[in-house]
Amino acid sequence: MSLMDTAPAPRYFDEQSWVEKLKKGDELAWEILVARHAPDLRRAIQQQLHSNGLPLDLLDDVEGETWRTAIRKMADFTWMGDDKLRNWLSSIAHHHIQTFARVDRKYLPSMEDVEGRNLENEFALDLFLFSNGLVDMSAEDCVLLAERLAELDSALQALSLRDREIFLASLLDNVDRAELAERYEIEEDSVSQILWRCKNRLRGLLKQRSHDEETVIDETRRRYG
Amino acid sequence: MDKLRNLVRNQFERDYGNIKRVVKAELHREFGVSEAQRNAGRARAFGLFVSVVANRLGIAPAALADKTGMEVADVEKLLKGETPAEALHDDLLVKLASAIHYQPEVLRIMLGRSRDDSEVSA
Repeated sequence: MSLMDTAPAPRYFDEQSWVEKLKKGDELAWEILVARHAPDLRRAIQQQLHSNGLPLDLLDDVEGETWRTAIRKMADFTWMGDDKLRNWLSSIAHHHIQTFARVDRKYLPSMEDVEGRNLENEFALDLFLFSNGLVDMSAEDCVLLAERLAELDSALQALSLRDREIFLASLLDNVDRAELAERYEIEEDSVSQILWRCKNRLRGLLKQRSHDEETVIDETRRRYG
Repeated sequence: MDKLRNLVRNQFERDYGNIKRVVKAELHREFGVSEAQRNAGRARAFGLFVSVVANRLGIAPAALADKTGMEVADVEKLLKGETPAEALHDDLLVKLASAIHYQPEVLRIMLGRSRDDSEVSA
C-alpha cells in the first residue's frame, strides 16, 4: 500500500491503534502521519522562521530535526485528537527554531554555509540508507551509491587512521559519542572535535566537487552555447 | 480519476519525498533494521567501495585477485557488490584492506562488524 492510498484517513480509521503503531515505529503509520501533517507543519515552520527573523533556508534543517525528534519522543505522546498532534509537532518545531535563533545571534550562516550543510546532510542520509539496505537498487541508485562511496573514499583519505574509524562508525552506525569515547579511550569532547573536524573536511570536499561540476557545466555551455 | 490521483501523488513526492526519506532513516536508526536487510546492504556498499578505491589506485580485477588469492570471477562479483556478507570472512577483509591501502578495521566497520566479531571469526 502506498502513501497516497492511505491519506486522508478513511472513516473507519482507528486513530488510537494508529498512534500505537507510531510508537512502535511502524513505517506505514509514519507515512500516514507525514501525509496528514507534513504540509501543515511546513507552513507552521515557515511562519515561525519569518516571525523570528530567521532565513527560510533553515526550513529543511528545522523540518528534518522536527521529524527526527517526533520519532524519538512519540513514545511519550498521548493521543487526544488530531489538533493536539498538530500542536505537538508545531511545538517541537518551535523548540528547534528557538535553538537556531540562539545560534543565529552568535553566528549568521551565509548562503554558502547553508548549501554546504545540505550537501553534507544529503551525503550522510544517502549513505546510511544505501548501506543499511533500505533502498531498492535501480541502475540509477547504483550510480549514485558509487558516487557517494567515491566521496567517502576522498573524505577518508584526508583523515588520520583513528579518525577514519570514528567518523565511519558515526556516519554508518550512528554510534554515539559516549560509546566512541569508551571504544577509543578518549574524552567525549575529543570525539566531538574529531567529528566536527571530519565533517568540515567532508563539507569542503563536497563543496569543491560541486563547484568543479558547475565550472565544467559553465565551460561546456560557453563552448557549445 | 486515476490520472488526478497520480498527479497529486507525484506532486506530494516532489514536495515531501525528502522528508519521507528522513523519517525512514530515523525509524531505522531508532528501531533497527532486520539483520538480513542490513547485511545485504552493507555487503553491496562494501563491494562497490572496494571497486571505487581499486579504480582510483588503478588496480585491475586480475591484480586484485592476485593480491588476495581470489578467483578473478569472484573478484568481479565482489566489485559489483554481489558477494554476500557471509562470504566476506575476516581473513579476506585483511587481504583486501592491504591491497587497497586501507586498515582492516575500516572495512569491518563498513560491514557493521565490531572488533569482537573479527576476533571470533579469525
